[in-house]
Amino acid sequence: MSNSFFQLIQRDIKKTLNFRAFLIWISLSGLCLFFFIFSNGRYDLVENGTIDFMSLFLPQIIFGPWAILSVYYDLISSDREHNVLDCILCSGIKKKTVFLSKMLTSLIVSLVLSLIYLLPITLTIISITKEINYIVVLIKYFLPLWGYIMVFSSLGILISVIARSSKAALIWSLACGLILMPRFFMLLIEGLGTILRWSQTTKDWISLISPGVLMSALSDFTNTEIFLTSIAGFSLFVFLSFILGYVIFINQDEWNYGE
Amino acid sequence: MSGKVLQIRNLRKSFGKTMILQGIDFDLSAGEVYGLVGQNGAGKTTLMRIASGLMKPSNGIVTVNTLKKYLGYMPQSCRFDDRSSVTKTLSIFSKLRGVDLKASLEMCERLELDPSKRVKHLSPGQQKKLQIIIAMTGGPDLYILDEPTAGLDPYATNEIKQIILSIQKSGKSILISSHILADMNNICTHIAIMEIGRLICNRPIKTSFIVKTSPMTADNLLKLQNKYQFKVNETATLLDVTCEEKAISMFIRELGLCNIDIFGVTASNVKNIVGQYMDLKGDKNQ
Repeated sequence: MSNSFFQLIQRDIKKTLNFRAFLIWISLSGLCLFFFIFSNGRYDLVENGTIDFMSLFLPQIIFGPWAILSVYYDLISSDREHNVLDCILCSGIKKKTVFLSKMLTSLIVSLVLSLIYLLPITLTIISITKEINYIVVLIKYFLPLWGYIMVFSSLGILISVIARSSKAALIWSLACGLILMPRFFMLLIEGLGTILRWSQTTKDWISLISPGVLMSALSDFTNTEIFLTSIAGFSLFVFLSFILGYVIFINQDEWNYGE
Repeated sequence: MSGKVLQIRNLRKSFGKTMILQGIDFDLSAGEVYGLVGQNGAGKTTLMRIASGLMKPSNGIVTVNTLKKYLGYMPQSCRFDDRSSVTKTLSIFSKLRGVDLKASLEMCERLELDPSKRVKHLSPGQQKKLQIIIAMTGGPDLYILDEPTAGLDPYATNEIKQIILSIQKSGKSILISSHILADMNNICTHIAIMEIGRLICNRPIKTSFIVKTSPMTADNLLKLQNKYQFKVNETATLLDVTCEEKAISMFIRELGLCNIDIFGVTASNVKNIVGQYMDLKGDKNQ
C-alpha cells in the first residue's frame, strides 16, 4: 500500500503544482509586493515599524479563493471524467487510499503555496528594514495563511468530488470563490441580518464563516477568544469538507449514476 | 490460472426504481473470451463495472478468483494526462502495480508506440494501444475490455484485435463488450447476449467446418451422428460439421479411429458471430 500511496501523492503533487499554478501564485505574490510597496504598507513599516495585515493580504483576500480553487478544482473530477480513476482503482488501489492521497497532497501543496506567497514579501521587508528579525513576519502569518489555503483546498476537493466534470467544477469554484470573498460575504450577511433583524454580534459571528475574516482573526494573537474561535472555525471547516468529500467519493458511483 | 476466474450469480443492480441488471449468471474460465453483445443501454457497461469491482451490486455474488490483486480493465474511453509522455504514464501504472516498467516498454516497441511521445500527440488508435498496454501491465489474469475498438478505423481495429488475440493465447480470461459484432469475430470463444438487463444467451461460439473424407460406411455415420451434429453429401465424402473450435480436433480423431481418410478441413465463415446473433434474435422473436 505504502509504495502505491506515495506514488499517488507524487502524481497528484505534479498535477497540482503545474506551470499554471506557479504562474498564478507568483503573480499573486507579485501583486502583494506591489500593494505593499505602493500603499501604506511600506510607509507604516518605515515610519512606525508596524506591518498592516491588509497591506500584506489584500491580493489574497480578493483573488486568493480563486487562486487556491484553480489548483484543486479538477484534482478528482478530471480523473473521473476521463476514466483514469477507474484504471487506478483496477490497479489494486482502494478508493480510500486515493482520497487519502488527495488529502495529503492538499496539505503539502498548501504549505508550498503559503511559502510562495510569503517568502518574497518577507525578503522585501527584510531588505527595506535591513533587519533579519522581520523573519517573524513569515512565521507569524504562515499558520493563518496555511489555514486559509487549507480551507479552500478542502472546499476545492469537495467540489472536485461532487462535480461530474472539470467544467462543472470550474463553475462551482468560481461561484464559491465569489460568495466567500470577505467583502462580498459580509455584504450578504449585512443584508440578511437587516432582513432577519440579527444583532451586530450575530452578524460578526456569522461573518467568521468567510475564511478571509477567519484569517484576519487568526493573525491577532492578542485576542485569545477570537484566536481560538478562528482556529476551531478553520479546523471544523477543513474537517467537515474532507469528511463530506470522502463520504460522497466512496458512494458516488451508487448515487449520481446517469446524471 | 485454472478453473473459474470470474463467477457471477444472480447479479442484480438498480438505481432507485430503475432496474439495470436483472439476475445475471455466468462463469468465465481461464483461457475463455466472452463476447458481451447487446444494444446500447442493455447494461453491458454496468455489468463490466461491477465485475471489475468499480461498482457494488444491489444483490447477488461476484467472485473474482485471480492470483493478482489487479485486473486489466480498459474503459470505453480514457484520456491520460495530456502533458505526460507515454513512458511517464506507463511508469505510474507500473509502480502502482508494483511491477517493472521494462515489460510495458517492450510492449510499446512491439505495438510500434513511441514511448517518448506525449499523450496529447497520440492518435485515437495509439491512445487505445496505450490503454491496452496499461491494462496488460503486470500480466493480470482477468481482462475486462469495454468496447476496445469503438471509434477506431479498420486498421487500428485490426491491430487491437491482434493484441486481444495474443492475450487470449497466453491463457488469460477476457470479458469483452461491443455492439459491433464483426469486431468480435475470431476473438471470442463464447457469446453472451444482453437485452434490457438480462442475459438472453450465453453459449460457446460454434464454427462450421467442411471435412473432406474417404467414403464412409453407414455404421460409421450412425456412430458419429450420435455424438456430433453434421450434414453429409450423397457420396458421404463431404461433412458439414457445426461445433466449437475445440471440438473439431476430437471429431477428426474419431474419424481416424474409424479408419476414415481425411483429405482436408476448411473452416467455413458462414456461421460466424453475426449469424449466431441473428439466429438467436430470430428465435427469440418467434
